[in-house]
Amino acid sequence: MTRSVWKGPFVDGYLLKKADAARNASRNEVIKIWSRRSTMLPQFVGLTFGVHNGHKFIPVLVTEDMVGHKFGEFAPTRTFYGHTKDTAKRG
Amino acid sequence: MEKRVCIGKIVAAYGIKGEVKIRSVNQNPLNLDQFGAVENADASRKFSIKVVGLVSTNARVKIEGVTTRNDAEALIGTNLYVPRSALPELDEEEFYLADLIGLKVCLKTPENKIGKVAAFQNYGAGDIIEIKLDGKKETEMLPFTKTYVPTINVEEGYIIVSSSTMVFASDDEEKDGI
Repeated sequence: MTRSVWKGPFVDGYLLKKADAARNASRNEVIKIWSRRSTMLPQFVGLTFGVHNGHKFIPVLVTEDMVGHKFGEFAPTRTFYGHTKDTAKRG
Repeated sequence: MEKRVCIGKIVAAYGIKGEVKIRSVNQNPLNLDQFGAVENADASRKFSIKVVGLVSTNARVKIEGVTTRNDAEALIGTNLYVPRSALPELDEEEFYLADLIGLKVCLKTPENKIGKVAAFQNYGAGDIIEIKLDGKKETEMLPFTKTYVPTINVEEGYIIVSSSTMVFASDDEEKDGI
């Protein structure tokens, strides 16, 4: 058994509580989280999380094929605007 | 001038016979050649394209008149556009995102305008609608779901959102309780 399998997925504990509370409330609220490092578990499927990207919360609707990924993967922290053209003349 | 829609971008040359790789914004990259001739951003050049296959998620495309790798490399970075009228008709409850950008955003009723649709984003977890609220500099993001966007009326030019911001489960809660 590999070490990562033996250790199991990492999830911050309070996320489970928040997810349970949101599911029981059965309202379509977004769960605000800063824990980008947590793994998505099967019990999160169908819930919408607002994942902080350092600036604002990005809505992430968890689907079955996202299980096992980290929340942070779906809320990019950088914006690439492209490189400017090199207009300087070379002599 | 007729409204045009960007369907992809030439990202690389492929092989030595003038084929290119196109990053498609369509759901199916193999459909790229079904809209007729495509043109570049300023409509100065028209291209007749034929999809040859797939390279990873990009379409491998043969462009008429482009026969060498040098020709293909010269086209890298070109965005390809088709007229809006060339796109196929959609079923009910289906929309082209390009048609929704710029629409009026109303809160709960069509009379209550709060802003306009600035863009759509997709970071891998579903479509996100980005709204430019009136009188605010920053944009607001909402999940593009029936819950948040219950009504879309393209003919009359508005969409209705159920909330102007995301409704968080526990706004008053401390930051993750850490």
